[in-house]
Amino acid sequence: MDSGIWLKAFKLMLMSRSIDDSCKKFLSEGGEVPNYHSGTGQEAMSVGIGLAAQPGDYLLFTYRDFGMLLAKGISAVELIGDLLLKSAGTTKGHGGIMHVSAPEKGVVGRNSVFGSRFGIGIGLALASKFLKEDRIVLCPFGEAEGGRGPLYEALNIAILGRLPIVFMAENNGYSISSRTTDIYAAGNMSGMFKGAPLPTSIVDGNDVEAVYNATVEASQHCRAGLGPVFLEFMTYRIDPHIPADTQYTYRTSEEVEKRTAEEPISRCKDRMIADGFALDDLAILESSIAADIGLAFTEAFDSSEPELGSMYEYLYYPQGSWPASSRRKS
Amino acid sequence: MNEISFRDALREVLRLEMRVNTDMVVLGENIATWGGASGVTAELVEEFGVDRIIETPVAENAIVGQALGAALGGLSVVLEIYSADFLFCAASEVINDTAKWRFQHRWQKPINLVMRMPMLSSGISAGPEHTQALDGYLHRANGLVVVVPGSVKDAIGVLRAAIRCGDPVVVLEHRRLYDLREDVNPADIENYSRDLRFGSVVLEGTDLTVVAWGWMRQLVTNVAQSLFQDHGISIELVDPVTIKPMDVDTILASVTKTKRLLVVEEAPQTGSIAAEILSRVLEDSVSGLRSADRLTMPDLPNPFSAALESLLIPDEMMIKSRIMKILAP
Repeated sequence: MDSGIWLKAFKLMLMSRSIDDSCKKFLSEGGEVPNYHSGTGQEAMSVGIGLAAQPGDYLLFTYRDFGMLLAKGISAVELIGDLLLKSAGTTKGHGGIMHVSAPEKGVVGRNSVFGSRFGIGIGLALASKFLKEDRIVLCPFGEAEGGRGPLYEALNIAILGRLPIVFMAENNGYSISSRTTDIYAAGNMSGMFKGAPLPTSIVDGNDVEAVYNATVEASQHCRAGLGPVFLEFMTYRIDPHIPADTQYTYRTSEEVEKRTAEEPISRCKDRMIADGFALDDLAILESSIAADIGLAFTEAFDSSEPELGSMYEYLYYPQGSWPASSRRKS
Repeated sequence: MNEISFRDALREVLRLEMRVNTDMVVLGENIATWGGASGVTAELVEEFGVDRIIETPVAENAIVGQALGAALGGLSVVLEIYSADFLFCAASEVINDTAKWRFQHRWQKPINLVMRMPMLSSGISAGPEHTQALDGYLHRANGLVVVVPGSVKDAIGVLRAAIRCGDPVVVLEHRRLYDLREDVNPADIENYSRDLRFGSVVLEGTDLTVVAWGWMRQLVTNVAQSLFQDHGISIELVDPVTIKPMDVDTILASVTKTKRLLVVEEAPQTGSIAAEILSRVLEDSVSGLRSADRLTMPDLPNPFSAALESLLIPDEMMIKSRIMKILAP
């Protein structure tokens, strides 16, 4: 990565962390952030993937991937609007963080029940290949999604059709309360597919440069028409699964402390200082980004609630075209 | 006029639409060299090649998801499911993702996705896991369009409209209809497209409204003709064709005229489409309504035995005697 990309990565990671901090502060003050899942600790993975994506590439994010979505060009106000289910969001308060949608940026949306993103991913890859668009599909997923059968089905079809898709396992140590090592027979999320006819590798997910480089390399493989790649990123979920998660029933505070010490933003900062960035410059960046996200949070919060009357408009195409007799009698 | 079978008509529509729309693909199991479960896609691969007539593994979750993803990516996709019952394997992709995609994402563009599949029994001892009516299961999946063509001409109009309408459409093809032959104007094969928002009044009548679709529409047509000849009974047959979202107004208008309603449905009574239609008619307080009834199947799985199965599925005798009972003075 050149210094420009380092700087971008650092900024995006800070933005992502700052969104988490704002959400947590808001929650502590009695606010509501529906479907909030913290991305704290996973920023290097999320941002590294997002930065390696080309503008046209399809990206199927997870609900912790704030950094990835920011890297893909979705604004902090839009993202926070989605977190707060407000009209500032990409779906104007309807789909929320579970359904961030900006198709013009390659973010078509998100399946809400685990398992179907693999099928959707190979479908986007098929469309791209058929239409000769030179767009690849980046398909990150967590422990829950990767445990489901559609992954096998889609891998098989992707390999058969040499489809341009990168399967990206985000191993953050847990599937809610289950340890990844306890629910994956190989002890990790990629081991099962080592014998499959596609490249697989394990990447340090807390090293933004390693994530970026691995994603770029996998993307090149896909763009060359060589078919899919399977990458697994090792990271750690520092925060509870959700704010209400009683996390110390399944992990110790010592473990969390130890792993927090390996968190990616300080690691990125240390590396940048070693590479010649000025500590003061980075510190200024940290405070200015926190302030920017604070303003974005206020702007998103102040936007309106979704409109009730608009619900029927997005049921069928063209919007609102079906006769009223198909609606509930009032 | 040209006589053509339901099966061949579906194939011709696929062929003609693929010629016009070069971004249209057909996906499914065994569809290329074998023609799929029902022979509909036979020989298409010769004209369009394996890049457009795409054989898939038996992997319902992935292929329904793939069909959705490809549609979101700008293709027009027709996915064949080998048997309608197998759509249950991919219920999440159909009900959670496809049906709700537009709503959850405020998706502006068309989603050109058709899932077509053979359903119900052809009386060949296929067993209860291969003979279910899917429309009843799908009719509360808001965001889906569910259609059941009951004639060759409707098969043409429904499939063409489904391909072009921009919504995800499930086309349920009754197995007994594939060999049905009808005289169809060649121009209709070329151009006919139904407006999926509306049902059809297939026969006009005054004594009783019968609502029936799929294979039942054919049976009711026969019964209505014989009742008129033998007893002068005048049946108005309404085929909703689009089961979801249903054109209730056409049914209400008919019942308002005839004051009597019978819904004939090839499905178990509980949770039936018939129950929904009867509710709508009752809710609407049709003035002077004299009777509202349904002829369905009992709450049983279809038995393997063709002899037993034939006792459960409404046939012409059952339909006729129910109508006579309703109209008995």
